[in-house]
Amino acid sequence: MKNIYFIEAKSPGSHIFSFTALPRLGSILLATILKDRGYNTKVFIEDLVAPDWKQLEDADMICISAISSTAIHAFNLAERFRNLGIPVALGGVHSTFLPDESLLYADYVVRGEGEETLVELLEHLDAGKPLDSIKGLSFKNSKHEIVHNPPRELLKDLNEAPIPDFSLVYKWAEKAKVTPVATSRGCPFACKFCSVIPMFGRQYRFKSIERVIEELKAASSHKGHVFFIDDNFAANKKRTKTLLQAIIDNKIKIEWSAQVRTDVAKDTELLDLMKKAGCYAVYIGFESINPATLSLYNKGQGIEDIENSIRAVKGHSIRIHGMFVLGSDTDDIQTIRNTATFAKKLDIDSIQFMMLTPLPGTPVFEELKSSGRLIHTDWSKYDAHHAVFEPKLMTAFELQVETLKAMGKFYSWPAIFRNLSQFDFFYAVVGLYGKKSIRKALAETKSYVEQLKESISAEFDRKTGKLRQYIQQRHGKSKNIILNTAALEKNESTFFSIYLSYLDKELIVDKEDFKVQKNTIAITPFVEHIKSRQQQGKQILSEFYETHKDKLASTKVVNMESIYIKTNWLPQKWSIWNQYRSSKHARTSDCF
Amino acid sequence: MESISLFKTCENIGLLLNANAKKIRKAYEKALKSIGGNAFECNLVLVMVKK
Repeated sequence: MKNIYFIEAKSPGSHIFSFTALPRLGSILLATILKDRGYNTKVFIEDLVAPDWKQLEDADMICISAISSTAIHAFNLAERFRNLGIPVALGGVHSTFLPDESLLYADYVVRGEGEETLVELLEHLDAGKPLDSIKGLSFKNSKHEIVHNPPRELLKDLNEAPIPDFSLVYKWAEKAKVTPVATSRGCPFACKFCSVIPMFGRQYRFKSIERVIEELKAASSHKGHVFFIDDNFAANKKRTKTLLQAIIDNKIKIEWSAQVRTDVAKDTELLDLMKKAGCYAVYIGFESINPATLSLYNKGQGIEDIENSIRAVKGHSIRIHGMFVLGSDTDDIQTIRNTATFAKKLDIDSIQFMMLTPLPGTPVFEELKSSGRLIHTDWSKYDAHHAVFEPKLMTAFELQVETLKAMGKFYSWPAIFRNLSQFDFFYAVVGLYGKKSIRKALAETKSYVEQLKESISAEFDRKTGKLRQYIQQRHGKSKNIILNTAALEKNESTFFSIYLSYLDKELIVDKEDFKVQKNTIAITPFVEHIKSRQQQGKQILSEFYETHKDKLASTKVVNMESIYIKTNWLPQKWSIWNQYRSSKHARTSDCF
Repeated sequence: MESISLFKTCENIGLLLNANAKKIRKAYEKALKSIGGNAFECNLVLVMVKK
């Protein structure tokens, strides 16, 4: 094998920073390693410029890097090249955590950090050696069985990897406006929605100061901006200060930005050094202004930290790009609206309101998957600009619409004119681009928003076997709703009474009578504080039935979630209900 | 009907009664306001209708 070409698959949609393509470093670094070993390598970054497809057809192997949002496009590319008889290796975060899926489209999956795995793969293929000793590799054996070799340990010394050679990137000199530089990997924090820790570990590994300075000297020769691609540039403040001082001492003239946490603001010396070393802007993951959400995310910061960091960073004339993640289990519509107001009030320069996205490999993904709350796995929508799961306190449709509205509120004409009046042309342009990208996003997501809206009732009908239609036909004119639970307290009665009155239904509280009349629908809410939190719904219903079985003697019970499965619509473990369902008494009314 | 929150419980009851999402949201917010804005835990509702 001689020609090993890399493709970084393009993003599916646009966002606020689409106009400054920011390549990831993985493909460039791997191409550099292979070049140093005598391979002919080239990197094609689709977000930068369309690849030279003709040249790619000369490849002996194609390596495609993808994150979740670019995975489907990466799979299409993989199929395209495999159809030409070119073997394909997939790598990146998405394939690392879902290798079986990737092996439907590719020959090999390089899981985790690929510096050593890819080299060994090529060496083994060239020598015709078996692949089962290559750590971090997944592949199909001669029997077409999927084999996952044991994981590879994380690189211990980041200095071992060469300095990325950007000349290997197709049309880099002409097109690139931003040069990514990595000084570290990993993050000592544990935010639940982030895939950095499962991919790169919690241990913070970093390059030596001398090595970073060498990379920065190389980067400074290329006009443009440097972006420190580290997940947390100031995770070790002492080391960051040493690095910044070295940039100043070496007289490296660069304008740069980096991702940091709010805790940078607590260290004035650090902020002073950042400014002196050429820091133009920082990207801060504020994530939320809802304290419950910050705690839920394991973010380890509060609202005061956010406010103080904005003041301190702006006080040092460093720009802020604030990033918020909306849609947690403790966020409702008002949280999203308040976040937009907050961002405007504190005068953040630019923002991104992203929707919580359950990325494979993260705790959030596992939680939502196991509770059946993922709406779909169309990975192209896993880009933080689409609602892809069922939130707890709003509908997915509301999350989608309200997030776009919040973006629109921030990138407003008054804000653009204010920047213009202050001769701040860059952020005036960012504002204009923000407005344009919101318009584009609205157009791009129009059909998706419609689908989300329609799915609310469609999904309900699917789960309930069109019970709604049945009730409307038989009980459509029922005005009376009987609320009959023995333990419902005043607050809950008031709540349901008012709620149902807005739906034009009258609530009749009847604590004892479980008889269902012809023109009534009876509802019995089970309020959790009266029961143990540990109890499952089925247990609670079983106990309820035991308590009131004399009154419920003639009821037939149907589990609403399972009714559509005609052959086995009641789970076996609901033994009490199963026994009862098959009894001759199950006739008079249906309970759902 | 099992749900993941009081809001989703109300959404399910509302859909069952053929209300649209906008009406459900409005009714939920009014009802929540009437009890001081603090949602209580209610993830399960038994619905009974005459066959």
